[in-house]
Amino acid sequence: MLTVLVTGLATGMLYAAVALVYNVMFSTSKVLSVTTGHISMLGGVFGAYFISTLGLNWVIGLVGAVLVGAAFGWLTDVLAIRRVLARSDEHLWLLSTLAMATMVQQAVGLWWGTEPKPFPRLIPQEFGAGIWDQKFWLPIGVAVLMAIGLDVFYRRTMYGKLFLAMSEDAFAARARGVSTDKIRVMSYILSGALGGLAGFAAGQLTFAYFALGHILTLNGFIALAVGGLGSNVGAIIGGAGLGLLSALASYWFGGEYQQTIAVGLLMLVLLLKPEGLLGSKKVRPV
Amino acid sequence: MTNTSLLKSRSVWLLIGAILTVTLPLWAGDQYRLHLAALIAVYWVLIAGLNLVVGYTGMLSIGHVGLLSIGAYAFSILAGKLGMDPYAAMVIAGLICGLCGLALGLPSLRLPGFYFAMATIAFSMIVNEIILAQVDLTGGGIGLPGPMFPVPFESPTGFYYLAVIVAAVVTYLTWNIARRMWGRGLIAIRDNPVTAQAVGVPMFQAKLIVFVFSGITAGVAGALFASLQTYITPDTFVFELSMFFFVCIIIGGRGSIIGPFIGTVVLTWLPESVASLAKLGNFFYGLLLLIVVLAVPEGIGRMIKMIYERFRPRKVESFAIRPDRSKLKDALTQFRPSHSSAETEQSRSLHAASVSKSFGGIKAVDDVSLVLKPGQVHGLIGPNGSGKTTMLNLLSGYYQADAGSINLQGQDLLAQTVQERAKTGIARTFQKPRLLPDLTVLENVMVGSWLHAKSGFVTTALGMPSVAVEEKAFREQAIELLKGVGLEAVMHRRANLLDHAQQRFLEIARGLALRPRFILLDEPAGGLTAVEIENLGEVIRGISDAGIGVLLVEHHTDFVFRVCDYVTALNVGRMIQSGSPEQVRHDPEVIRVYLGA
Repeated sequence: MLTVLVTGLATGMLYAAVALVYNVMFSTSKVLSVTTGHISMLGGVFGAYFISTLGLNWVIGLVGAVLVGAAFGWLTDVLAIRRVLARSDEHLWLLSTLAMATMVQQAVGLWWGTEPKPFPRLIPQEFGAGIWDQKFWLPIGVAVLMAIGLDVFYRRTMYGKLFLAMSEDAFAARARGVSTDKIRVMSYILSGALGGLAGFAAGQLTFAYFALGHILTLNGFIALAVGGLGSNVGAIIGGAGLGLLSALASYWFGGEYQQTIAVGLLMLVLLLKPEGLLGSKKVRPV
Repeated sequence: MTNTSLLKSRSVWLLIGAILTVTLPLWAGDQYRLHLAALIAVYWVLIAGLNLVVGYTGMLSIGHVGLLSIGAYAFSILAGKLGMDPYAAMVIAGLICGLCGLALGLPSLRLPGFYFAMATIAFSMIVNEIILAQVDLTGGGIGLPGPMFPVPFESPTGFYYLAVIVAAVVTYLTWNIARRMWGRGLIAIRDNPVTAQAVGVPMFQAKLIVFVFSGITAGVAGALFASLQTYITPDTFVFELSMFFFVCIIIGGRGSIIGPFIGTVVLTWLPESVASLAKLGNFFYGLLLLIVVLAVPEGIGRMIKMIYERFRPRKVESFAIRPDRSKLKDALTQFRPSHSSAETEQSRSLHAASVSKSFGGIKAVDDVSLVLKPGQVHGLIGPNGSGKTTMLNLLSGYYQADAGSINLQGQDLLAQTVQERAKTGIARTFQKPRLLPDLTVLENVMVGSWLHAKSGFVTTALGMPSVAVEEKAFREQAIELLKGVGLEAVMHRRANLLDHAQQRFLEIARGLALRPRFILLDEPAGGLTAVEIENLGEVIRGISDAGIGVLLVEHHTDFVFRVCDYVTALNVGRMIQSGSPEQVRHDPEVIRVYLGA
């Protein structure tokens, strides 16, 4: 039973980390990118590639995975966001990021193969460590560190404050001389790096699997919507809640209806509290 | 005449297409090509329905593969396992999927775009999960055989004809929707929800109806699909297929039927004949989608139109808007809502009493009362931020008042939605004209008559004669109104090609197509030249001649004092003076805060 809870929590914290990545991109561009989960997929796949296939040291593997994530974040901005936002048509970014996500998933499938491959052990540890196994606490620790790190970043650094200013009112920020395009590119690179890190940390839990991106995009979004769009604490709560609920549900009812239950949770929250648990209510734009 | 030759060429194309389709089994050559042609027809049954959702209403549903697989399994279970008649099973599969569309649409259609798209993706994943889990019913991972249709549709050629017949019927239904009032209403939802509300389109119901319709066509397509594939497993219904449906429509272009059809044919045929593309699969669709979004967001449909217009350029002459006051009055009185003689002017007036509205700590409108009388032009003036537009939003229902009352004919409007108030007879225009850029001027006016269209979705789809009769009346009314405001010369031009003044006059004509009792004009003279303002005065007088009350929010005070019968002046949300233009013009307080000495 304890293993069930810890597994659920670890999976949930991966979802939470993906939700945090959503938030970083959303803050500067008001875009919810379909590629968000795929960044973490890349982190896991490239981590396994660098360490297992190329035989590199895991620290180098980690740096490599983060860099790949950051590069993909940058590419997302260049290809799917920059030109589309200039046109300010609401649906277009959804299509362009969907296109990017589809392409990267298929490309990884063709190159890496469609079977999940194991992710290497990072720290020497007995496999019998039970709930103290690194595959559980690595994703949990990374998600918590990410949330704390983002909080410090937003409060203490100039760039963090620029992110907040843009999320509050991009036009006003621009009027104050903030180079909003530069800040948005930075936020996409940062979100890519964070997504790569989260995917790398959770690699032993999820395996290096090309179709993971799709699942993470959806479940990360559920964590985000349940917790409340824009709220980092909400993302952690939403992710942890979703992970625990899915784990308990499959423990009691079997694993066949996991996704159904997750979506059921989302619908319930959206019906009762459309802005999510900790989200802010939007003023109607007329 | 360009119009008739265009009609001719279109029917010629249609005839060629029909002949090619019917004779296809004769010249297709091998069985595989025939199979491919049948597959295109089956996909088109689904895509034609989805096109109304994605292309016309602008809802991004990426989960229709879930509905397709429900249809396929329902058909295989009913006609195969339970031995039901295949045609009945196909109809029931369609109905089941319609219900599933309802169940999916009810909670998710109110959500913003990305949330809705995610909900549809999640739906397709759930369907897969359930099919895998319900082994007794669906065979789980092993799958089910897809039953065949009886003679004469059992052979490959026979099945091809069956699929083509169904596809033709579905195309006819969606074509009827697209070209009538429903199509215009859906495009209004897509391009300008605020406008859709203003003309009275019930947005949620309309979206739900269209979504359920697309569910039914997906179910029927599923039944045909199962029969064509002869065996179905959960692996048949990969997410890739959903992407494919979606990409066909986006590439084909929004708001077109022929565009997505070409998209379907090309995208089904291309990967099958170019082996390297088939291997790339989803990557290819993703790449196409990205290229289309970045390079031609309007899709092939629009490109064809643009090329066509290039080769047959319409003469675009510059012209002056020449409104005709008496023609406008005649057009309006002809279609005016009848009222019994028992009604007094008092009961036919719009009474707003002690209306207040705050945003946070700011009182935007504070205890304002005014009465709009039929046929009277009522001016509302005041400095920026004095609450004029807020007052207009309160009257038309875009804002809900915090306190006070708004009455018309003893009806309390305060709790009514924008659409209900439009039905009561309140039309409006916006500070920045909100038109439907892809529709012609004439269609933009016709959409204003939405509330007077009696034909429902089903009647329209079936192409009943009554729909055409109704449509003709709306068209005639719209032409009369356009003559009245002086825009008849450009009535077949697309609205996004109009200049600013033309857009303003067009928006007024659309408001009048609602056959309102009152029309609220939000700064109609903004950005107009002196001559155009004179013309606007003509239009406003024409409207008031016809007995329609006008509320005029405006900064051109000379103009206001000239055309208005009654003027109310606001400052920081409060009423400072109201009365005849003379009275207000010489009021010392109005001069102090607004007019200046």
